Amino acid sequence: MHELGIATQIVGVVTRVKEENSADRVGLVTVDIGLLAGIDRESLEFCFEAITKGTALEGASLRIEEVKPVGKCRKCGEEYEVRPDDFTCSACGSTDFDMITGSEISIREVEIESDEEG
Amino acid sequence: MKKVDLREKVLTANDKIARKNREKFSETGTLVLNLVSSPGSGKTALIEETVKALKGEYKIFVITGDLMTENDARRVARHGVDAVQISTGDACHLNARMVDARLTDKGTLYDLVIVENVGNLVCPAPYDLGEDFKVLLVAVGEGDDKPVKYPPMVRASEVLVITKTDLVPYTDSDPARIKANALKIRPDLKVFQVSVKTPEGLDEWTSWLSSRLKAKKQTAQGK
Repeated sequence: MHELGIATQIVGVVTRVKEENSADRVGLVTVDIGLLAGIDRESLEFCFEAITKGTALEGASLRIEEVKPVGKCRKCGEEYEVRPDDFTCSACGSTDFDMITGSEISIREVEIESDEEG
Repeated sequence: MKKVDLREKVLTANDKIARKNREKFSETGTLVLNLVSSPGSGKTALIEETVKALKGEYKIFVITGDLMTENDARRVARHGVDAVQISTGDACHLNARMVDARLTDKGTLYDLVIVENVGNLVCPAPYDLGEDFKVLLVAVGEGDDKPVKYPPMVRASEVLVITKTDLVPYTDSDPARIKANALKIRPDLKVFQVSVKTPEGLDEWTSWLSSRLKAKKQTAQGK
């Protein structure tokens, strides 16, 4: 259940963005979650909703963009899609790779709205 | 609606503190281990044996993390080293701030800091504490396919210690199979097989650790 901790961090960052921009409301919050980041999507959605309810972020919604894991093989240099249950390089069969994408937990974009535009 | 382009890592706050921890430890050449495993894989027992073997030569500090009780810190402190417990309440992992709060000021007085994370094969994986490396423990009998079931933790670890090898005759478990499964996920893992009872493999583990301690100290002195 570290999704609660992750959701809390997201809420902290979004609250900061809202205040910095003197916004009145937050709309869609888009996050990139790598499929090898060890985050359960449903738990994160649940936690985000639970901890924003009744707060200044009420009404904000979370959009999770899943990022496919891509690795660069340390043996042959091939870049290939790493399946969460099978890390084998599609070119040479090695499982020794550097992760290029797939472990990220990051906030891509926040939509904010102010009553008086200006 | 106005869109704010952010591209900010969610764990930036944790990573910043972890970086600060790591910088302090690299100045003094303090080696920091982060032990991760399921509950009951033998983290505390391995720490006790490690401490017994190395306390004569090195100053050691141990941080143990659990939801409740100070049992583990007491167990370790019996061996005459400094130990402190972090009781997380409900939290399923330690974070860099918890380590910083207990340690950073005096942590640099030590040669070796061993952090025993909360027993959990999922949540501690993405949290950098400022350690040199994570040590993953998998015990004989807990399921030889554990490593392939929990790939993020294996990816995050540099060392695998297969524990409780004295139990092999009483189970269908095979350390070679645990090792092969782990290497499927991370082929460059350094693997040890130990039993704190027999005590198979402990010398190999503590001598390797000792060489890493010396290497880190030398790097710090060379600066």
